[in-house]
Amino acid sequence: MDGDIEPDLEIRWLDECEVQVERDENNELWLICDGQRMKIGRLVRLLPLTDKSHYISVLDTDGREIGIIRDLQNIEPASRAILWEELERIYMMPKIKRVRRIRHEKASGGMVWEVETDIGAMELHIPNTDNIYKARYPRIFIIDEDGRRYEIPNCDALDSRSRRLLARYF
Amino acid sequence: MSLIGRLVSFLRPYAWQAILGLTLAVTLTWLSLVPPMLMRILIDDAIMKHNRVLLLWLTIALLGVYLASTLLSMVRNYLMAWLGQRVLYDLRTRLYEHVANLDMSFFEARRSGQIMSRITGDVTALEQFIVHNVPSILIDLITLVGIAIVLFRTNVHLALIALLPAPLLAILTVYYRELAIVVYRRLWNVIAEMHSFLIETLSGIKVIQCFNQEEREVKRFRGRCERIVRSNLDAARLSTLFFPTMGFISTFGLMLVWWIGGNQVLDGQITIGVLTMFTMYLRQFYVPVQNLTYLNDVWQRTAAAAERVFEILDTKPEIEQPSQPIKLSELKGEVVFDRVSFSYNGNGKRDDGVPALRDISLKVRPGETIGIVGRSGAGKTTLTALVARFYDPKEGRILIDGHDLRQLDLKALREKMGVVLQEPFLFHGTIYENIAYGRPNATMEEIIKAAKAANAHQFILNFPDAYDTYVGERGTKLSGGERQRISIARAILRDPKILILDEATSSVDSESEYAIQKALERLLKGRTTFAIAHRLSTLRNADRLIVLDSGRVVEMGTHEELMQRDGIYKRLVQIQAMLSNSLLNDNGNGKGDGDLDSSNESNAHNREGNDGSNGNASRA
Repeated sequence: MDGDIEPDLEIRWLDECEVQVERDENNELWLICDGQRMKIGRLVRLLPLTDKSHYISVLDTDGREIGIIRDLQNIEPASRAILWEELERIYMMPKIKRVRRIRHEKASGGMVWEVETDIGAMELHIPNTDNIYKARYPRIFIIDEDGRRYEIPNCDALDSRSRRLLARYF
Repeated sequence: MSLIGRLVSFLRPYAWQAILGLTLAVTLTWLSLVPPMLMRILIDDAIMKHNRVLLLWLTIALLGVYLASTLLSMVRNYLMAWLGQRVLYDLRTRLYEHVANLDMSFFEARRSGQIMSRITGDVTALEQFIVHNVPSILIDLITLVGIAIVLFRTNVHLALIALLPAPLLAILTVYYRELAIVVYRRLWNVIAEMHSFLIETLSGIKVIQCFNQEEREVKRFRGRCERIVRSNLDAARLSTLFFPTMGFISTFGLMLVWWIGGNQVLDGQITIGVLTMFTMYLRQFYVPVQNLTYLNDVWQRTAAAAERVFEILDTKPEIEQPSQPIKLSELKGEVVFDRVSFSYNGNGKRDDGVPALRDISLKVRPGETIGIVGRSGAGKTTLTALVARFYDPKEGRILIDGHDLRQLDLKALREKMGVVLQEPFLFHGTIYENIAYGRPNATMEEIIKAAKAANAHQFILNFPDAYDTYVGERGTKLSGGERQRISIARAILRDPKILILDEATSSVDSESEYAIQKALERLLKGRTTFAIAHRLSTLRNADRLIVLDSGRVVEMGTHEELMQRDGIYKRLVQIQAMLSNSLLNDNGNGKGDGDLDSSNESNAHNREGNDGSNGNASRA
């Protein structure tokens, strides 16, 4: 069964206590809150596409929610840096800077985007246009066939060739 | 107001742009009359008299006229495109706004494909007429009058010959009009039928595939396409017969002018320049004549489209806001049915003349949970639809906190109501947007709280994009139980005083049902609730149960009280218990309450986030 049937209905806001985050020698994260030290199992951005620095859910190793950080700015700098680093690792999403070419694969009906991102040149295999999320236009999200996410922060700000190549999708 | 007047009234907000467009069009028309005159002078005075200077100036003048025409055409075309889009926007949004406020009986009487066809296709036909055809008529008329004046002033005899085909053209046009009405209406009907068919079959594609009915549906689709082809060919046959005939008759007039005018040139009655000018004008003259005959075709389409669009715009909702609505500052949630009867008479598809509810009297206390039980068609959903004022009772009245429902402010009342349906409807958007649908200004904190109370927060955490997850069209990327919990979170966030649960747990598996039941228990607290369920076990905790049969309340009481009687409720409970026992015996373990597991809780999505990372993390 997914989810507790009798969950704690109240939200425990972790930034309302003196919260600290540590990384141990095994690279595990630990949360210290109200004198309690708990091992962090997972960090979840509740709004990973729209608000990266607010509403961070901290889960224990059993998948239970320990609490939510409302705003990372409320956390002391050293802990914030650890959390941010971990979150950026988990939610790494290359930013597309230029679209070089788009090929259509007749057999699969998908397409291959040859792009330049902030971490280098890539080939994205996109199964269909449903994987291009335009709801927050001009900010575009793309999910490739392996579920990896990519972002075009502002498709109107791309160079003219990229815009021309993408025109049929937006 | 006449149909044309009503259509043109859509231009009123853009009067200045329309006037400018028309002025440009008139200017362009007058400019188009200049070249034949210049050509006459060019031939007679420059070429025939070997005047090279005049030839140069006339050529420059002709170039200037054509250049001015080109530039003005560009400005006018863009202006007309702009105007067209604005009018189209107004028409579409006004129609949709009206449709969105119509009551259920309107939608029951029409297929959604038909409504879609009107909002998309028909409004485009109207825009075409208002923005493009109306100015064209005026321009064509100006052109006709302008050229006729020039022709008659130049040569009355030739002008009369040129106009010989006109009566025949008029007679043919009237005849064509009668035929075109029938053909184009039929064409629209078959296209609308195809739209309806597509909406129905695409939304029911799972059922089609499960029952291996793909071939049958393709065959049915082919049948509809065949009818469209036939109707289009009927229209094409009519057009191909009519328009070239009209063209030939017009050309016949031109040939007569060449023959008679040519003889006049040979006899020295007119110059070659005059004849050239005459024939040039005549070509220009027949263009608007033909346009005006085409106009009839356009008008048929427009009139048919306007009829359908205005039919919707003129439909008044049966459920209307009272003239002086009572706005309850605080709703307690007392609901009284006072001798209420209702039938779907006049309500389209469900118009079978049989009363759906008969003489219902019931008093529900604030915060009370009423379980509604009965066979299919007993009137359960109708009863709750009356509470939400989707319909008004035919007899009797419903009182909310002592006020007749018909006197209350409808919007304010519905703000205090929540509905959880058997098939929860999620919109294409994120989980966040769907929960916040009833309260778009809710804070994230409130949304998380609602999701927690609905037992949804935990599964949302497992999606890679959490609350930013797109649920797909109608929420297809979520399982049935997940969709239902999102819809409960949406209801919780709205904080309704009156709640309607219509088979809220019947389409989910038992595990999900348990989670949903727990969520519902939290939702029900302090709210007047009407809960419909076929699984009677889910209603056991209701404060009172009412049993409906053929639209009447035949039993009322608590579960224990009703079990004491030898009535419908007891029989239904016994049947479900028998089913449950038979399942237990068959399987060795059972679900306990006659629940047939619908097993639709399959993972409809890829849960990449379960390992604490999203897809990118696993790659990283």
